[in-house]
Amino acid sequence: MKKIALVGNPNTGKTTLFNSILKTNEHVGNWHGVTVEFKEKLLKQNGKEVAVITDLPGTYSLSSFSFEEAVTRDYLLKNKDLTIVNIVDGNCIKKNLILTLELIEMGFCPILCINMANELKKKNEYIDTKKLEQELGIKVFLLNAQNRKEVKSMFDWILTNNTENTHKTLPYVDMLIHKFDTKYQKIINDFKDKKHTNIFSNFDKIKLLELDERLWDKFSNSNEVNNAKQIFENDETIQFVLKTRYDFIESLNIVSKTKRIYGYHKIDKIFLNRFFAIPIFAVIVGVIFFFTFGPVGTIFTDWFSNLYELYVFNPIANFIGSITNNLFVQNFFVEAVLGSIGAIISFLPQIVLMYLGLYLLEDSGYMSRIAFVFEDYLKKVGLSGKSVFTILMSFGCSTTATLTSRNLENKNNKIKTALLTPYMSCTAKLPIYAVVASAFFPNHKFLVVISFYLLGILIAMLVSYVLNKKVLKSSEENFVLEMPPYRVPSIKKIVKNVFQNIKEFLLRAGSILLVFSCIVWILQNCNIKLQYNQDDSILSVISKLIYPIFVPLGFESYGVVTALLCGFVAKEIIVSTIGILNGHGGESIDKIATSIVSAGSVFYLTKASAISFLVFATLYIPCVSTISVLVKEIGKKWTALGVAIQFLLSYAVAFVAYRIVNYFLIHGFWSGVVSLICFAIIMVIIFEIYSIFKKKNFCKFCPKNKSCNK
Amino acid sequence: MEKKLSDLKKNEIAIIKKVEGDSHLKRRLFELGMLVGEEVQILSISPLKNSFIISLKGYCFAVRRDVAKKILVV
Repeated sequence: MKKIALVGNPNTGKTTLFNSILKTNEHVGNWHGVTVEFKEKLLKQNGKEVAVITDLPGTYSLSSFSFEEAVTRDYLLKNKDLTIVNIVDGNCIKKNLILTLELIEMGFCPILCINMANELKKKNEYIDTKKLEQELGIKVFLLNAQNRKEVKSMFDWILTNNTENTHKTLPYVDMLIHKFDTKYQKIINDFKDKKHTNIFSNFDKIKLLELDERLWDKFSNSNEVNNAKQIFENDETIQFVLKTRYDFIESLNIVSKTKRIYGYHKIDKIFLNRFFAIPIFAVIVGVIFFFTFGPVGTIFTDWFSNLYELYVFNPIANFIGSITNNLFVQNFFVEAVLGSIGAIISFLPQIVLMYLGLYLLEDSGYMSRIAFVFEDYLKKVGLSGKSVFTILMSFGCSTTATLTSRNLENKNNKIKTALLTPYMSCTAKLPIYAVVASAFFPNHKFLVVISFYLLGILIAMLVSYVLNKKVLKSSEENFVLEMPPYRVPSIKKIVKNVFQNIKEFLLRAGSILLVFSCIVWILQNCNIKLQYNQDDSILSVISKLIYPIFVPLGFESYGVVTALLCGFVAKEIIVSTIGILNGHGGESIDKIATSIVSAGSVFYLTKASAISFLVFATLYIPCVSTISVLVKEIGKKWTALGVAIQFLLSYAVAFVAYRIVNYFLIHGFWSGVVSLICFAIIMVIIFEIYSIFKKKNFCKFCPKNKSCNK
Repeated sequence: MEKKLSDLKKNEIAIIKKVEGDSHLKRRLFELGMLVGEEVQILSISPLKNSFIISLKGYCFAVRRDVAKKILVV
């Protein structure tokens, strides 16, 4: 059975190719016990397993500077019998071929798969594949990785032909080796410590010239080794090797000459304009939010929950009513099971719209532009432009967003980015806004939703800023970001991604959320002796015990605390808990909203405490699944610290919000505004005095501060 | 006259003279084709002037000011 590995630069279409050829038998292998995943799958033909295909992480080269590179290289070194399919993007083939040359230097005979044939054709560009085959001595295919037929015929060729790695020496290699032998071999031979100094393959020699860390680390760490390294460094040997490769590629002359700049479009003159970029971004995101939370989303949500009530809820409830008279069983099914499913499912349309918008931004290539535009601002709060994707994804679901934080190269930036996802308003928090807003601020629903989205972002940025100043300073991350071209988004791909997220959401809703809402219902409706008794249920006992802690925030009924406790499992449960508490389990948002403000509500809030409840619910601890991903991505210590900060902060902000809103309500709007302005002025004065005291360490000779070195 | 890539104006074209920095950064830039003698152009500058989009070898990418400062051009 052949072992095939897909190797290529990031964003060349490896995974597209992987998905095109394989549709079944997924087996995700975790290697070395680390986060980088090698996807491995069996390729079947006519029911027979014919090959194992491995999708390796995207890498620019085979030196061992970054983690992905090291993993890929180790894997290749260990598996010399691999058949390598090297995917390159036809649009920037010259740059991508560097990796191909390295593979050949290493002793492999890769099959070169030039992707994006369709785009090249559209632009009337031409790649001389025949010449490539001759000069490199490898088989070359020009295709479109999305086209199943083309991909299949390539794999058919691989499976039926001999793809053994016969060693081929590229013309420039002799020159590099000669240079090494005449000039540098002696330096290494002269090392006193003879460990590892005698045997070098040609590949090793080139890698030594490239100052490959892993090879150099094999030598003992002595002065003479460091001096030798310095000689290599002064001679710019890295540049020499890379220039040799580039010159060789240029000399092949395989690409038709064009004047265009790949990735840059005329429209970028406007989209990336210093002054227009941010307004344009605001409009685009505004449109997505308007569609999701405005009229379109609401119509779908209403329609969806009506359908659910009519065709699922009512028939099943009636059926259960007809087979048993037991009130406990009846209520359990109607409220706990059907009710919580209904509460979760009615938000499905909005979640779909949200993800559609996000993936549309990503697939069109606009997301990279956003990263560029916001790079400067995010750097100020200690993040990087690449954090934008994680932040936007966390409006969908903070669990999946946290996973995307691994794209960040720098560890401190990764921790900061991961920790801010729970502050964002994920789709599960939306029902809370919707219910509370329609109960207390029925005329300003959209405004309420938007302001809490903004609150989440603002607080997250503050947290990141403080973390950056105090503990997690971002080292100067070498920010180099490739600009993908604008592409017409592939509907198929987007639908697939949205579907994947929805599937996960429904699985979660169907398993963990359902189980927990059943448990909550039982805790809610049984007393300590497990008898059906709502008056002194287990949950109300617990909530009554701890709710005094929350009285300063204005939560004067234990039901509020119950709902927040349940929200720890998943934010989706908060609303269904409110419903169950007020005896409206499984009914529509409007009914739950009315029940909150009606007499006898155990979820009693005033306008001021409604605001503080929303603040608290937006900011307090992440849900269980996000915590579990956080632990996996950034470790227990940072997760614990992050959750603690989040809880204290949410308490403080909710407290302040409660007091301010109360003040406004009691003393009137204008009096409130005047007080706030006075408060702001006092704060500014205090801050100024503080900074004057702090500036004491002026330079003695000139009015400059510390930065002066005289 | 030798200057830094970060000093170039929008749409200005220059030739790379030298790349500085640690071997990690240098390698990364060389891999992307930022070799001595190549022609670079600033295509776009970010709102706070701290990142640039540059074109090189017919494609483009974004770099931060601290990286651009390490690339000397004429």
